[in-house]
Amino acid sequence: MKAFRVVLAVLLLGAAIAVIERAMVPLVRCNLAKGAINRTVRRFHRIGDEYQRFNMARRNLVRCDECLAAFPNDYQMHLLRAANLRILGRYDEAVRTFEHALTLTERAEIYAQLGEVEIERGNVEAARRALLKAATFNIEHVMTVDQPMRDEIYTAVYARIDRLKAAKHGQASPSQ
Amino acid sequence: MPESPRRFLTVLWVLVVAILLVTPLVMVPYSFDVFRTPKDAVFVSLSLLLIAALAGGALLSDDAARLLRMRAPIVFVALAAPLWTAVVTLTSMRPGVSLYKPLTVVCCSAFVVATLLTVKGRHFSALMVVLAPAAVNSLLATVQSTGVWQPWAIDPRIPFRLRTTGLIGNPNDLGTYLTLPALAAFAAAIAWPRRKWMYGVAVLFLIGIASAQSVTPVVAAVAGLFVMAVTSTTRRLRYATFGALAALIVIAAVHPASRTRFARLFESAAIGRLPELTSMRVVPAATAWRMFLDRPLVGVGPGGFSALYMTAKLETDAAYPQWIRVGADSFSQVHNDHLQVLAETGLPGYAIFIAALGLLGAITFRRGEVADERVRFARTFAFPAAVSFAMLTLAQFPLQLTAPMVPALYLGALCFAWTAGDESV
Repeated sequence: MKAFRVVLAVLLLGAAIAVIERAMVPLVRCNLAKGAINRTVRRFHRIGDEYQRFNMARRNLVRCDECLAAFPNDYQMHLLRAANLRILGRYDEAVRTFEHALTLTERAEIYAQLGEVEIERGNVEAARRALLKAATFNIEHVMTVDQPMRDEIYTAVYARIDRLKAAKHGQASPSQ
Repeated sequence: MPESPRRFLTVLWVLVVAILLVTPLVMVPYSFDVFRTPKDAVFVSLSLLLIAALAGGALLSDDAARLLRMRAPIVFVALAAPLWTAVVTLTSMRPGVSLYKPLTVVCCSAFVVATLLTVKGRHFSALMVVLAPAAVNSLLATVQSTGVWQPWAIDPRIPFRLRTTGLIGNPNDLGTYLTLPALAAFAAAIAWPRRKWMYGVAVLFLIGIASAQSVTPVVAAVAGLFVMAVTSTTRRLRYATFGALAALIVIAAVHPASRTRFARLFESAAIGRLPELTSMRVVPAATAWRMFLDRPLVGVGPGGFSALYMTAKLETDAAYPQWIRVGADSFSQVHNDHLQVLAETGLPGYAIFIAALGLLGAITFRRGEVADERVRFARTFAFPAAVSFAMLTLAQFPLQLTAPMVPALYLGALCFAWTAGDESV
């Protein structure tokens, strides 16, 4: 009986160490990787050498996939993955990755980046929808697109606010 | 005490001390999240070893197993929390997001149980273990906020206030983290009359809170100190408490950046702009309330607020269009843990939270004379700490953060352990 208890205790300790090794150590490692990937993604627009940019994006993509294998629900890692796919011109995959991130958590910056990729794909209506959603939360997201879409979204955001205020006060909306 | 439980308790104590010392000081430079994630990883890792040690001790020694058969109400609350978190994770609207949350709550419960077991026979040194890393953070915050020294390179575009991080991560987390240690230092100075230097430690923490320039911790510390004065039975304590209150208000008024921040808040209050007055937090608060009303029993699930905020916020906009600000962005936390617990875990989850605070606060109101300094400390600290923590959770989210939760859980457990068997006095 005593031996059984010792075995059980050792197994418990082994299980705790296994969880630390399989989850906590990768958590710290992926946090570091995420920092490095994020820094390179922010630097991409300053790198003129396309070959170097592509190589960095490919390396980043490998690290993103490794971390996503361990933490498939990390929406920030999905965003970084999509940003690197965008650099590589794999727009369809980037859109799918953004959409997957949105199933995990809805955030304005995801819609904003999704809108930008849709523009690059030439899918203007989808871009408008995504950017309108992003700008509804934070109007600064509309600054990333050119005219006339910027003005259209800007007007739509303020029209919504006017409409809601008018509905609240029981008046006719000035924009209607 | 027989040898095997003593060894068992020593192992637990070493792990508890490691959590207390390492968690508030650990950071991993160049990470995506330099402060919070490393603290989470260290806390969970050490707590998992703690759980293994607890279970292993119970298996290998009958004496150790007997120690674990605790019947105190706080133990039932500590066990109810992970159980209910597991239930609401199963019913979560975003199961993928909620998946790992019960693990953190289990770790918190194990930490409380281990603290209850290990600190009972310990004295003043058990308190210093939690105050030492807080002192390091407070000192660092003070030199950062006064511009004397910044230990790492800072992006010059970051506003000056946000550069005061200590080793905690941001000014709000830092102020929240320092609030309970400040109250504990003050209560210790009262409880151990020969250790008057604890007043100095308390003032150091108050300076750290003022350096963080975060309104909620200042208000929570003031409220805690005020309650400490009101509930005290000695005139000396009242004088000291009102002295500390005055000191905190003077520090907050004299500290240049803190004064500017308060002036801006008073300006927002004067013109009645609720979103600006609450740093835009009124909107997530209203949104969390709507989520709670939609699922009052089980909530949306742990972590569900952040995942569902955007859609729910659009409904809040319709109800309160006067609060819409076009520059306001997403909120990952409600910045009000009362509402976040209600929204994510429903009424039973909130009842567990309130029960823990209620049990802690009740320690102060136990009757009878006390000779033991530890009991005096617990009685002086418990209710003010409960009030202060309840206020912190009104405009911050300490329940979601490892750094403030570790001292909060430890100091709470310390009060229960040091007053165990004191109920009938």
